[in-house]
Amino acid sequence: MTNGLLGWGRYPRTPQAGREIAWIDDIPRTLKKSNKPTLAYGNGRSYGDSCLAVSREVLHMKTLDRMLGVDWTSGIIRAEAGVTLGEILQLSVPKGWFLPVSPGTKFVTLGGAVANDVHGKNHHRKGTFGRQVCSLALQRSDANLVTCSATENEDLFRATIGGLGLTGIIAWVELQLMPVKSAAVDTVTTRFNDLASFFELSSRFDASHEYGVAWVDCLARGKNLGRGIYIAAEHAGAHTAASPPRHNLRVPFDPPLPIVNGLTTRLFNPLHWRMAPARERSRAMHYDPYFYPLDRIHDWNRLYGRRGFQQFQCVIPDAKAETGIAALLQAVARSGRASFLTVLKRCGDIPSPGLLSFPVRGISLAIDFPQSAQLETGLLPELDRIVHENDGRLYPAKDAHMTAKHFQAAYPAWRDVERLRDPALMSAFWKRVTA
Amino acid sequence: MKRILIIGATSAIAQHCARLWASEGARFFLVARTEGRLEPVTRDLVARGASAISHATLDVLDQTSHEATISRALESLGNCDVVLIAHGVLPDERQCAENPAEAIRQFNINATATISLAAHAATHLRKQ
Repeated sequence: MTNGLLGWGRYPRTPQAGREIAWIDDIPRTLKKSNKPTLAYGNGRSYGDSCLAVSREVLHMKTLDRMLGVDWTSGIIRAEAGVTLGEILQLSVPKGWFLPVSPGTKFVTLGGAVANDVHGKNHHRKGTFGRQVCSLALQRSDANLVTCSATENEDLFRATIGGLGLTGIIAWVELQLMPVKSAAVDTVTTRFNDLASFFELSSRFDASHEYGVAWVDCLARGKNLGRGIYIAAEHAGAHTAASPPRHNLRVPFDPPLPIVNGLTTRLFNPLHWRMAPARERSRAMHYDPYFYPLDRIHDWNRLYGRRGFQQFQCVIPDAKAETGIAALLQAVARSGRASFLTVLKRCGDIPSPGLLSFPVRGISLAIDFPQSAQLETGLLPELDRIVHENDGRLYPAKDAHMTAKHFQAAYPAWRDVERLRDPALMSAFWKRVTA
Repeated sequence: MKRILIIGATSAIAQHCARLWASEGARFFLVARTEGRLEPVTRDLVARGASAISHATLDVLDQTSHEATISRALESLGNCDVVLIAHGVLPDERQCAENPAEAIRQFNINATATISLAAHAATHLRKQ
């Protein structure tokens, strides 16, 4: 039993007790033993309450972490659901294979990546993680282990990709990797002065580069609204070498007050923006610091103090993206409540097999906020209203506050997932948004 | 390339040691009680770089089969560089206190069997 498991944002603070799953045949046994609805909990990288069970009892999947087969000729890998993306990269990169879709941390498990249908900085090229899944095995409380793919148990496959872990416990996942010639990426960095420049840069770079993402100074207002730093990248050629970073840091305790707050952000943001190159600068670097800069600071979520934080991530469809994102940034800048971590990214139109997949063609904005009562009553409802009015949607994997009304309007396929939900599984998120 | 015999190969500590050796291309002979669990462990180690893996099942309480299992393993590996004995159970203290037969059974798994297996392995390693 592991106690005290929380979501990454450490809000809501409803610690979970985890029963360890070390073998696939532990799953049906443990499901039978729990008399209350439970949920799979991987490495705790979902931010809000989508990885928390109402019963506060979860199946802790981290020890279900064996590779079940790799074919270095075709780049197909099958692994148990508790294997992390970082563990796959450690094996695959020296063999010339990379994850075709990677989120901002390598510490997510395979099961979590499927359940949240995660996306990366190349959504415009590769779509979501679920598109890279060849097949998966699902253990439901009411059936034997079933294999699901686009051609076998297709309903269950589509409901499981982005299905927030509710359609059964994911036992293993088979994934198609993509070939790379080196562990390095060639990056291009440039700062930009306003939101219109972001739209221009992302359109231009998305046409020529595999990856693209922007950091935004969420406190800039007026003519500086939406200023930030754009980083585009491509996998490097065979002759570019780069070594991984040597030292990792760790946040060893919960500071009494959040270290990332309005004050530190006001000091840091202008400085960070000014230090970025005004003209495009190219640089080769190892994939790790490019894809996973925050992974170097272990337990960085503790910087927000004991009360934790919420990440607000939405996507606004293209037609309303420019006005919608501007309205969101204005509301945030007015509130003065933002933190350093604000990210803009263009999503493409490659469809996901998943019924509840988050990305749609448009612009995605993600912002971290230190948790406070005023955040819940003031800023978040205002941001939610703007998203709703601009036909956008929030990302369940990051969420701890979305209303049932907004969720059901944005994800009409939720009823199909509910129909296929395993009655033995229920998350705090699902209970809230389907009420 | 190391040649390694592991007894209790499906225990957590054994699996994690084996992963490190597998990444160096080691060759393994794995021994465990449950056949079904040896399969995923074998697949995992092959994926992580193990060059060859053979295995056998053994109930360590059956002391009469210790000698045969060790001989078979070391014969299969040729020479052997490492023997890791990692089987064991976490005894329930209350159960052991209330039931002496259970206490002895647990002792036989964790202590007597370990001594017997280590002695048999040592005999073979000396010859080698």
